[in-house]
Amino acid sequence: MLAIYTITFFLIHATPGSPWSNQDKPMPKAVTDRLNEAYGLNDPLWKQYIDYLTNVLRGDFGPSFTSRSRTVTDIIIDTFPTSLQLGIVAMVLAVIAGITLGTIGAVKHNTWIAYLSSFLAIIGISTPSYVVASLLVLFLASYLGLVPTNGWDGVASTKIIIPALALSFYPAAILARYTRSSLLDVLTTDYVRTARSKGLKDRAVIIRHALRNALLPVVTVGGVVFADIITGSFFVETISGVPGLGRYFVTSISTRDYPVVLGTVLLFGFVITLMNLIVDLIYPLLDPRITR
Amino acid sequence: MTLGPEMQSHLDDLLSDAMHSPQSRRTLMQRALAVGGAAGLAYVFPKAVFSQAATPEATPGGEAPGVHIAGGDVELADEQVIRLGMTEPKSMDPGVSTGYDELGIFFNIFDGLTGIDMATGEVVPRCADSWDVNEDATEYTFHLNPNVTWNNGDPITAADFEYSWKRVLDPDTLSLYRPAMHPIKNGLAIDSDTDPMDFNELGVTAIDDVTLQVQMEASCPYFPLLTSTWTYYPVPRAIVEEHGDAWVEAETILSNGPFKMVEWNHDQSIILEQSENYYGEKPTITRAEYTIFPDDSDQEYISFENDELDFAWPSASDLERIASDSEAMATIHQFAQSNCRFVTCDTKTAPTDNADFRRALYAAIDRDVIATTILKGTAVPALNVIPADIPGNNPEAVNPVGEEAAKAALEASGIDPATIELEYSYRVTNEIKLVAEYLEQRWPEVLGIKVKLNPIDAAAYSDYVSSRGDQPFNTKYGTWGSDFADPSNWHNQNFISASDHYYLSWKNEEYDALCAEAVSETDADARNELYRQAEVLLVHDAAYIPVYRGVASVAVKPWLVDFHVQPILAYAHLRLPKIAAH
Repeated sequence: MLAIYTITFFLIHATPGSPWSNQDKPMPKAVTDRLNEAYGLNDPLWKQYIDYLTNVLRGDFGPSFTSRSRTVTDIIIDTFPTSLQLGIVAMVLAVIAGITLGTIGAVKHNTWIAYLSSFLAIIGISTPSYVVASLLVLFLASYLGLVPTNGWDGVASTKIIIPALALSFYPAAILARYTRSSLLDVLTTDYVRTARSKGLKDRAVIIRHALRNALLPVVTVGGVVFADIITGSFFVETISGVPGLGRYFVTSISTRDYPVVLGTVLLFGFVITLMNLIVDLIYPLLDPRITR
Repeated sequence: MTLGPEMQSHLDDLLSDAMHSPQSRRTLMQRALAVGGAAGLAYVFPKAVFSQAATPEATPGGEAPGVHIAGGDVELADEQVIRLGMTEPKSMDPGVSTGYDELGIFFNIFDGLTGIDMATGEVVPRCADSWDVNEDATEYTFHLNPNVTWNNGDPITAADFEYSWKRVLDPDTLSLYRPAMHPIKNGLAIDSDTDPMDFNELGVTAIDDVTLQVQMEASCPYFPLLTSTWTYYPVPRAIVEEHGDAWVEAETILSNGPFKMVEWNHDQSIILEQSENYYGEKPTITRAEYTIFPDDSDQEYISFENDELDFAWPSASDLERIASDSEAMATIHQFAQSNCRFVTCDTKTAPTDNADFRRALYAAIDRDVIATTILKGTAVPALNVIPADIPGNNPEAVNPVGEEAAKAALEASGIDPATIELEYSYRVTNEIKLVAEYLEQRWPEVLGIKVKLNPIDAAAYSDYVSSRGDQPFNTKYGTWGSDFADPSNWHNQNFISASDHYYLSWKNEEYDALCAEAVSETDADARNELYRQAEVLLVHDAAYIPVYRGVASVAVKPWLVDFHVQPILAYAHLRLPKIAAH
């Protein structure tokens, strides 16, 4: 986390421009001087580095330069739960769709169903989420009028359909590919052959024996993907008007809102670390050998 | 954070689209602040404030500029709820805001001493019933309406205004808009770099509960225009002092306009409701629902098409898409913005220190191509600098244009084009980039010079500009939008050598003298005439090469009547509009 902080801190301060410079015409020097002074931006970099770090350790992520009435903590509290809820719904969709598709692809290896599932996965991986989101808005909202074009009312609203689908598309495809390749490997192993030779039904072999082992790499990937989508997506949030955290990752950089950049990056780093830990804890449940 | 590598490249475009698209009021709103010390007037609004010009010639065609949809005798809808779009406010504190989309909220929840009648564009009394001004417009006395109250029913006194105005210059307020107070006596001294005066010395005094006296730094005949702007709005002292920066959140905010803010769900929505304690005439609209769109979203107009909004700002791509759809186009209203985009030239460095060479650059630009082909009708050509809605503008202040004129001017300059590699620096947003690429191709084609583009990140551009005072450059992008309908806001604010807002080192003594004479001239006709003469010199010297002005488009549902948008500070004011039955 310290490395993340250090790299981000120096990268953002090495970028030309300032939080008060994002406009056509210059601000009077008197104004920017006062702002720099008040926010400690006149201090030497090493002092800013240490000051911010000390504040973070005390739980204070600083003020937002562009949203004056809120602190970075306020922004995270406002937006992260939204991204989290949306991310969980999208992940559930992605897991169901991805593992199903991947399993079909592996079991029906070399049949048209398998090709179709691979094809869908490739489409999913290569289609950016903003294209998916735009198309969904176009069809579901504009043409069919089934859901509003944008907005957010929590998980139990039709407004979640577009962002959740758009967000789940890519992870579903990733999970499908990993499930498929991992399952293909497992299906040729001795213990699967043993299970089949015991006369177990195909379904039991795949679900009880093969899939469970095949899911190990999938869980590893899934953890990272999950960390990724619960911290919000700039494009999906922008297109479907979800007040999530994702847009702050991007806009804070273009507006040089240093505390927001640092706060969001640290949060992202924390979530990734946490997910890796959780993944490590899940391994033994899937494969008890790992604990030994 | 999902941001795949393939998306990264689209990002800049998305962001820059947001910066330039007419959908966003931000185009109109090129935020600007004065350089302290500008002669006579050191005050700038982010975008042009007042459209209504003082003289008739300012409104060509006899039509009021902006959007004006008459109401007449229509049957009203039962529910007077209006639905609009906006972006997340930067600061909901009128004393701090530089004028972002929060202005659309300010105009409806706050009242200044004066206001602007949206139908006519004229200054009208609001918190002040009347005001007196001395002969040379250096002292104003405002008489408050004794009935004005905050939305909670508490009275507003002159002391509230005194506190609020001084608070803007209080260093602890960290206002981004301090120069707004510079026209008031001692405003500049308080902001002095070397020896700042205490902010309590600002020349504003509450004589009693209903009398506010204001001393000006210099003659300021348009001060009642300024008091209608947000920086001059009153803020509730007790609440500000109790809650600090967070006083503007919906739970605590207290305002004094016809509406009050009841909800602010960050990044989602803002809800206004009519204030039951408003002292003035109650609006017809009872509730306003603002959907907050991300800064770079194209969704606002799509929501409008889906009948989720009553008023929206379509983007350039939206307009292109619906161009052949006559039903959709019937909802679109266009108006010229009170601005000018120009090329600025370094007059201290060769080759742009040569006025003939600059006139060659001026002449070579085919402005019709830029307006119609490059910017697809979202711009109109500009041959002079000052927009037509500003009094004292001079449409005859133009130089010869065309390839012949360009070559003649180049010849006169005595410069061998083959030796020239001209640099053009610009702020990277979509619109500005397109024009830069046109210049890169056009100047070599006509003049035989080489042109090198120097794109600068949007967040770094104004730092670049302000560092040009002592560093050489060749040419760079510049823009200005009217803050209020007075030519001093253009000439004295920006172009005179004492201001040199764009750091060109341009100095024309005759021009400086004309502007100095004009700004203190109290007779309007004589004043405008002086400014017309000054503009001839300004354009002839071609340190500022005018290129085009923006055209804004808004989409209005047919049931929204008595609806007005002024070209300067183009926000929806909700005092007059009504929702017709539909």
